[in-house]
Amino acid sequence: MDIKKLEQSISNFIQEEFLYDKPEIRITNDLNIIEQGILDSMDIFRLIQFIEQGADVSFEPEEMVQTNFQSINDIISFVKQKKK
Amino acid sequence: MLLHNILLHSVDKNREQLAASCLDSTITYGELDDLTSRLCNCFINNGIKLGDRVCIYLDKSINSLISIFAILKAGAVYVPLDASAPVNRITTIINDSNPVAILSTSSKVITIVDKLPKNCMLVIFDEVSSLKYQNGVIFQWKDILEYGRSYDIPKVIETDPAYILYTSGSTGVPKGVVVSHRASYVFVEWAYNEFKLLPGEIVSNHAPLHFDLSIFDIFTTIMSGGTIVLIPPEVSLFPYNLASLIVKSKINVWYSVPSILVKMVLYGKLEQLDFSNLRLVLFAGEVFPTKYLKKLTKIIPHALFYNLYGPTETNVCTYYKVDKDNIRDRLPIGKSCPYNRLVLLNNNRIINIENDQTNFKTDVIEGELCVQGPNVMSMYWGNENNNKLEKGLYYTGDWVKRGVDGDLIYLSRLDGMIKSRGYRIEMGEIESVLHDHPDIIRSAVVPIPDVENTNLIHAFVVSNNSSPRNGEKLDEKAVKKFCSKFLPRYMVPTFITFLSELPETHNGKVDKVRLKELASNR
Repeated sequence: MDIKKLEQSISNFIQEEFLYDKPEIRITNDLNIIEQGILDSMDIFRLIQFIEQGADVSFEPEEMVQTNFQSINDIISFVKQKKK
Repeated sequence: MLLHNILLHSVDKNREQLAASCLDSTITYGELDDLTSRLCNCFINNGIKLGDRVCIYLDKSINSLISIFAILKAGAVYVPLDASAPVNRITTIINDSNPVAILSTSSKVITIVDKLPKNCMLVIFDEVSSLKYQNGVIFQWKDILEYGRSYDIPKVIETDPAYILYTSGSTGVPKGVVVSHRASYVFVEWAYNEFKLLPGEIVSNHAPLHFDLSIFDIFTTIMSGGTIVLIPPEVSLFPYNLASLIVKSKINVWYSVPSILVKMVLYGKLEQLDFSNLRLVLFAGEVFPTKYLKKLTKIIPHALFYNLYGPTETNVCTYYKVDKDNIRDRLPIGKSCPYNRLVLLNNNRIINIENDQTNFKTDVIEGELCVQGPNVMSMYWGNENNNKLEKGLYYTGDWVKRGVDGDLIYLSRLDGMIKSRGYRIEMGEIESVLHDHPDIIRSAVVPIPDVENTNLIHAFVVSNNSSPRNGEKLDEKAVKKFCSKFLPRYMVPTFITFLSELPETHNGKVDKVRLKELASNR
């Protein structure tokens, strides 16, 4: 799996889907997307679904927790760990 | 029967007890009473009078709770703002409620600081730092602590307004539901007795504070000497985190909209957790899909489950204790709360539910549910003569039937209001925003039923794409972006379809049935 490509696609997805109305926020890999109030309860499931499809992984309910999804970096390191 | 007196009575018995917690912060009853008195004293000293509105523009926190009780103690009216709403909507509500003060933090208030009414006082809970404000007086939290605890108690009477909750309005502008101390108190006292809350019990606050579910969480818990666990919205994003919080915080009483309970059933791994402390689960705001309610009652078999029903205008007006062994496909909203009288209105026939002699074993009775009683709101803010309140009767717009056992069952809405994730949304308000877009010629919005979210919103748009104003073709993203300038995220349509014309019925109205078909074929 091309991690760089995945990183970029997640970043684009967040930018396009959730930040379209918040031009003041610049997406970086360590931006805390949970604390910023960027996502609501429906958005988070769309993001999870997107990552599952893009990385060809399937998250267990107990893995869908804040610590794994706080930033793009957290997401990527969690996906890497799952892929091992 | 004044809401803030609930705290004054409770503090004597529970001074050292925790009144609330929020993540890692806590506050005791003694501290809550002390700090709210100081803030109240500051309000009164700076000219805040009976009936003045004070807006709370804060992320959910202990400070929000302090704000609520301090405002009430001063005889003023609290107006909780949705901290995640777009600035345009916040300023609309501020302009409408015309507050004399706003409680906030410097990072939040900076976005609206130049749009505040003249002489509006600001109370900032964190450091003012670079915030410039020349419109009125500004206080930091450390200034508030300089004020003494004793103040001249204002002469509040029970029919005075206590809070204004803004909900979606069909004409495109949010409307403020004005609730008096008495209206709120009758519900709080009933809930305290009915659900037998005990001192020291731990009660969740999942709903945002501009949502009327929070009234139970705050005031009923304080009445009982319990502890409120304030749950910030980011914790609710992850059902597994939220379920773990219920266990870790030893929550005894839970109250929320059904959709978050459904998400916990689906993704919370509930069967692996120990819910032995949870004795009561209350839900309200939308229909609970029975498939998931059945699962939930099996996972937490020892708890009692109640379906509470009522619009913001009446707070809870009916309640139903779930019969766990016999969960029907349509969960009833139950029977009338003792403080109000319900009638069904059908073709000008008024059916008095309590006294009706009709044999309900054989006669199906249905009609629009109307509510009369001390719990009904005073008015919509700025609109004393509204037609929804005739002789104190509130027309809910909900079509209900009375079942064979006398329980009421919700059937449908009479107008364009829907629920999504527990939020009340007027289709008309979304359409009105769409119509304001210069490149949108016509639009219509329909709900699409969805198990996890109750409804998703689908907008159909006829655009002026042949000659757009700014030369750019209107696309889905642009429409969403436009909506999100004026509407909170939960009201922004999830799906947008461009049509060359809207389908119409034979009398020229937009054919919403046809649109729903198109939406479901997506």
